[in-house]
Amino acid sequence: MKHEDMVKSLSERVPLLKKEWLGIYRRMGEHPHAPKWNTLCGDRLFEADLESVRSFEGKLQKERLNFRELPPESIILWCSEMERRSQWFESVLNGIDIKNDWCRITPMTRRDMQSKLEQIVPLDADLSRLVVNPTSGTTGHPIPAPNHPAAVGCYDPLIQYALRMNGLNTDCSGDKVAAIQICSQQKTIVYHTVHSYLEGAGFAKINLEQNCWRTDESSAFYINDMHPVFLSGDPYSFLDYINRGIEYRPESILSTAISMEKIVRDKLHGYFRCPVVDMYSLNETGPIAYSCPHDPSKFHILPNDIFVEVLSGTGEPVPEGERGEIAVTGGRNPYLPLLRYLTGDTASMNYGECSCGEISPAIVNLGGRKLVLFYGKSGKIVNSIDISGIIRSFPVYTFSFIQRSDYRCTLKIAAGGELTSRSAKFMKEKIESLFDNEIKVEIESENILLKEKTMPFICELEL
Amino acid sequence: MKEGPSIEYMLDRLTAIPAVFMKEFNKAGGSGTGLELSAIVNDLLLDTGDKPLNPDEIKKLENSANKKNYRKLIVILCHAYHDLFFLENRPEPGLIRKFFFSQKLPALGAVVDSEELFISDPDRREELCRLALDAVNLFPGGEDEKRAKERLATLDSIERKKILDRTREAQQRAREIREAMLRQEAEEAASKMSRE
Repeated sequence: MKHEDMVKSLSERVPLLKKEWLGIYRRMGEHPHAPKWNTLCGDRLFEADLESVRSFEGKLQKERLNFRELPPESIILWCSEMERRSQWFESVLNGIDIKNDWCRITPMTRRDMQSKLEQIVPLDADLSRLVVNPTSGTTGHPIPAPNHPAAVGCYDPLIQYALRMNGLNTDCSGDKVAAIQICSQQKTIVYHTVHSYLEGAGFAKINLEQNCWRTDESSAFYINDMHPVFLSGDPYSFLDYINRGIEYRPESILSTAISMEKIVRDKLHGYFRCPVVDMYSLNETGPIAYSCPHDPSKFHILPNDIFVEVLSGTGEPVPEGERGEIAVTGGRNPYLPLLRYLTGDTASMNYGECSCGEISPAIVNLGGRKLVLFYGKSGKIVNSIDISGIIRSFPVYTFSFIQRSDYRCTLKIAAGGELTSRSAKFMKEKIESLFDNEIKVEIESENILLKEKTMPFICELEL
Repeated sequence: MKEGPSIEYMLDRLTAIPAVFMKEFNKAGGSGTGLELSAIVNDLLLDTGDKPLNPDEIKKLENSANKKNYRKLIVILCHAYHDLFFLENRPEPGLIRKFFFSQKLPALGAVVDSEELFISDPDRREELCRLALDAVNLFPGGEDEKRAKERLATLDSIERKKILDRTREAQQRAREIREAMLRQEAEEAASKMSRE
């Protein structure tokens, strides 16, 4: 690509692009061992968006939110405003005194988000800036959530905050590679870009899968030469990184998408010898909580514009320490205001200031989405993210994928009439190809929606 | 509220409207063989024991030609009220006048294509008869007040139009959101350093 074309293409995706940011961008893109990039991406931030991200960052630092079972005043006011703008809020809050009747408010479910999205999106929301970030779909409920570049831009200050609280002292901004996101999937998008919020610091999303690189050693050379401040990814991708013997050790590890078992954390910690930060984050909500530096099994609420509670099956907050379903209210996504949104994950709450200095409440005993691997008969490992990636591209509401002890796989799906038998067959063939066609996949359609708490991935193989 | 004539009685009265009531209006200040709205209304008001229209009210009626179907609705109602029942059981003075100059009739006129629907369409005809009774604090004979209110609510054209408009708007909004989502799913998202 000619230099002028490259600049034009990048500035369409990074509208605030500065000439001095091109150096790092080119270094990442044109490195002799760079991945085979397959897409282009940018932060899409305009000046006003960046200002709002910076304003969010300022409040994130200075106005930490401390609450207990009931929402703080800022969340009540926000709900009142939304009542005037969103049909969902208007109907759910009809006849409700938000402050005094909080527990009577019907929680929003993932099914509502799938089937009644138009009621949730505020009537005055300008759809022209809408973006849709893909989800890895580890929950069994693939939700294509609408988002806004400014809200996505807030991931950067949230991540920076979580890393800093866990001991990262290095500035991620400026002429350097701030982060590389490690994926380990058969297929995913890979790109490199620069982030305006970080003054043009570089970011790359890469896939360790061998066919994404020029040589067997390219991934190791590339990561080492890029020298990213931190690596992000999921536990499986980090384990794959270690198995491949990639030696580069960043200053911090940020793990998301799949819950990290203690044994995995210890392994990562031992290998990377740097803080390992776990973040609880959903596509629909953005980052919710980060692992405490003093007790990583505890997750402090991260943004200061959300209210998190743990509810019983009847929508009542459960007492501190008791397990229930996590519900989130608030947020900064202008297309997706959340009102007691049930995430499908279970945990208990822990209130009060922590020894680490954080004053926001914490989620403990988080029963998030587990890492599940499937196997071909010749030993090939298939990551659940690859399977959900395929299912996500079809109109499926919920699913559950089970591998039996004899290797046979069953995919139970709940889908609308949009999923034809032809496309279901196509989906089955694509999943079978992940297993090099050694394994047969049976698709079972459920007449009723699968229960929200159905485990999305189950492997019964005993290896 | 008091009991008035039965709804069937009112419907028969409305169906039997003379053709002359459906003629065109004379132009303001002009003369001709068409309808003279102020005169028709004045006749009704006087015959039901009310005061005649004042100059302001006459002017309002003359200047209401741009309100769709409004003037014809008044003419139809004049015929409905100019019935022996109302002439003998005079409504409280001011109620008919208040009804004619309320926002209800222009709004009602605006939701139908033609005023003739209030004669020819059974639901619209019943709605107008019930409105006419309700405006003078009467409920149809043989019913009770509660049932009358409920029946009127089910026939409410203005509310129905609002619901239809809201449904249409919601459908349009849903379509816009779906289209924006599909368009954007096919394009690139905004870059972020973590995944879910």
